Amino acid sequence: MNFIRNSKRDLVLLHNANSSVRVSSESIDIMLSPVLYTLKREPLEIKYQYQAKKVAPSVLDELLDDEEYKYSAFKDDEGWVFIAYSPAHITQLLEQVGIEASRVENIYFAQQSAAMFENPIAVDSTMALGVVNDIVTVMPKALYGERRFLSFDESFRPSSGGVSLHVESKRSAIAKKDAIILASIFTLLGTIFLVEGVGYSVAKSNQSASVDLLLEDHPSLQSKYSRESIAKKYQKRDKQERKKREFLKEISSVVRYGGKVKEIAIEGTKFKAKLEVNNKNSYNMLDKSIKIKQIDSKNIELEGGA
Amino acid sequence: MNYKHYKIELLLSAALLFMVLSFGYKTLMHSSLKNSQEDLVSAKAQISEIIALQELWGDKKITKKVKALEKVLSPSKVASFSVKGKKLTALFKDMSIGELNRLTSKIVSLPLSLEKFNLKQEPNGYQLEVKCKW
Repeated sequence: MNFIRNSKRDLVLLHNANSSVRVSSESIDIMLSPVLYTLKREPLEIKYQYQAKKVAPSVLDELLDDEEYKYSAFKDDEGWVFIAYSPAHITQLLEQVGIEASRVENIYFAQQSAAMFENPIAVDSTMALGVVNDIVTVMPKALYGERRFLSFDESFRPSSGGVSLHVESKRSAIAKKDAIILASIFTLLGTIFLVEGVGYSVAKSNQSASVDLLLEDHPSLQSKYSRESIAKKYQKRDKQERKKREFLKEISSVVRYGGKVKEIAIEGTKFKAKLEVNNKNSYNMLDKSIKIKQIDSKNIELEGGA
Repeated sequence: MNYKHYKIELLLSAALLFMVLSFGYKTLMHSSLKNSQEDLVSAKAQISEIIALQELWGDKKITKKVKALEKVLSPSKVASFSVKGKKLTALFKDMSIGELNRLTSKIVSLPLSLEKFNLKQEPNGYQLEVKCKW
């Protein structure tokens, strides 16, 4: 999987440890010579490449030794081409030619560009790559007589995809597969958090609508300061007037228990009342904010304030 | 430094950074929503209270209701009754306890600021001097 794809990667033909490799880009793609893979073509009725890859080990089994191989498969005009290659061998060879395996992005097989090898390519002083029976093969140069050999270049890059060598960079502290899993988890969580955050943001803008509706009918209350000022004015008045009315209510409760009002004086924030009472029971339930002054056995004076 | 050598770490760091930033954004929005909800509840309560207080103490039809106080008792009991602007000055005399209760109930039920409420028991009944504004 390539997250950072570089179209300027060099394409290098890898044949053996003597291959001369000149690389200018940091990452490279390599094309393997037929000596580095085992190939078998079978006209099997397989529809998808992943199915072909699955059956590749059994198709190639009798051609391989006990080494560890990886498999690839692609379709050409005559059926499925099954390929086995040894990553360990390729890695070792890359080291021998002075290329870090971690720099290799894609591996292609010469067979993928078989048509390009119709004109032979020299791989060293004695051998060349050519096509025999539609199979790219290593052959002695002598077989071609005086024929001119072409040089390997970017035009050999196949249109179909390559495979990965699955070698981690020595500098990487974490395996690529683990990194992809972790990155996916982080991205998923990040997306969930982001969606939640956007949800909260939308909810916040929606909830102020109910207050806006209330303020539409009372535009003077839109400012917090004007609200506080109006509230202060009315709250003070409300508190004082409620106290006066509560004082009168307390007096009427004494009257209900047989008391008689002699005098009530409410002026500003001071209240006074004189009452004639039969007994203590008629006024001992009065609110604690009211001061009770006993004038004589029958008369009391009540005092309160706002 | 060639970033391609560290592309796995860069990819992972970018994903981690995205997650952390998203989490920060979510937390910020959540706390902002919570604060806004609290502010909103308090603003709503304050506005409702002010509206209720305004409706109670800023009733524009109050003058008519105050003038009606003159008719609560028979004219002989109303010594003086004057409404000037938003102020009432009145003197009621010779009231029985029933008449006093009726008049007082009417006055206290109105959203008036009682500046003066002087009640005295006289030989002929109760005398009440009232000064209020609205």
